[in-house]
Amino acid sequence: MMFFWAFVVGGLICVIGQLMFDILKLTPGHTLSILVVIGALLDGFGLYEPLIDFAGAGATVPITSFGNSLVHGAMQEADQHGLIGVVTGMFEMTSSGITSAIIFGMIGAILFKPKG
Amino acid sequence: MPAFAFHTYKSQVMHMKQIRKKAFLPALLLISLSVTGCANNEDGRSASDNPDYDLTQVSNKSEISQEIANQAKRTILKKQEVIGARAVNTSDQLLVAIEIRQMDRFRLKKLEKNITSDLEKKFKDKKVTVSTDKKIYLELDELESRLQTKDVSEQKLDKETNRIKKLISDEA
Amino acid sequence: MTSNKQTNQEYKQFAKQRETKRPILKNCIRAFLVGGLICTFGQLISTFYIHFFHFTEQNVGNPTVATLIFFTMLLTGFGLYDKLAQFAGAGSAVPVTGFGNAVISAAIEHRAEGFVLGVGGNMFKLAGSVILFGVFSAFVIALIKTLLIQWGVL
Repeated sequence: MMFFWAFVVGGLICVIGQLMFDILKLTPGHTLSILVVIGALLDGFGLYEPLIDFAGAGATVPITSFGNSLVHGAMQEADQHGLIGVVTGMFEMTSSGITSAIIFGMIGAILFKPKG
Repeated sequence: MPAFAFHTYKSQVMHMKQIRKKAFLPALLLISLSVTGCANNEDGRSASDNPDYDLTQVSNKSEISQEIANQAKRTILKKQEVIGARAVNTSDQLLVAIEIRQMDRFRLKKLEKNITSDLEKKFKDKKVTVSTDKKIYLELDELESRLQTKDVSEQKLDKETNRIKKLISDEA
Repeated sequence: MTSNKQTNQEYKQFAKQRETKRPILKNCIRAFLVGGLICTFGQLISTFYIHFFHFTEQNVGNPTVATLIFFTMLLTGFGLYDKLAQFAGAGSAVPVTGFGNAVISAAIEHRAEGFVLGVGGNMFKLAGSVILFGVFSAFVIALIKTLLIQWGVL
């Protein structure tokens, strides 16, 4: 059942992105930035966690979860250390996405030759 | 005129393709639905219509009676949102893992809290820990079946429960 | 002659109608299918990690994302992710694999300019804005929420 809802929810988030491409005529950069901000906002209102509970990877794999986990990490640190935690805790939970993108980017640059 | 005729033909083909695609999507959904449906039934122990089926019959081999755990499971499974439960108790602890019906997973954290406080009220002398995590469910499932089949010493049981508790608190 | 002109106009209108209508639906179906499949694949990886390693549902997200980006590196390196992106549009851009692809393809493309100026300088050319707006909006939101909690509003 989890797989089915991961497919549906993840697919629907991608459709929202596609509609922003096609109807609002936004560039991919704008679209992704807006989606990240939406994810952060949803977590601010406490609405993104239930979606993850419901759809699993359908909610954690789209880029919206990046905004969600940034806010989440910040709030968790803020609970313990007050305001300064907002700054220090930001990458507590998101680190793996950016870290692995950098590492595999470097490895890719070493291994593969540019095309064309 | 010929251009127009050509276009209508082409658009008809396109249209047909679209129709085929439209039919394709529900078919795909249906297939994935039925596949996941089968996967769900595989775990016969979590059948909600027969809660008694879910109870571990603990043999006398174990040093610690699992009567409290069985009672806890019986109480939880009365709730309609719960479709499966695994529980283990030691002399002072009660560990419970629950599986929640898919449509109620939006309220997962709330249900977890409610069930915890319910159990705490019912078993005042035990320290109650409730988790909805799949991993905890699997771990408790394994521990349950080990209690059922093998002689597990009290020390070993304490060690295992502490390990699983650590796994639960790591998520916070 | 007049009827010919009319049909011509009709045709133009008809073509315009079809052209603005059709691709959006088609693109959305493609985005839905590919995006959904990527997420299903992510769920498969998560389930694998939960069953065979010591990860819980709560912290399985990190290794899942790392694994997906690893596969993205392979697909990007062999030039397959570009083809997927042409077909799927947002379906391949919105999942984290799209973020990974933006970083990795920029790194590979600018390798000829050297590792410091080329790879290092261009890696976040496309993905930088996502990080910037993500971090800044998260900062503002978390700040507001923390202040509201401290003042006892929430």
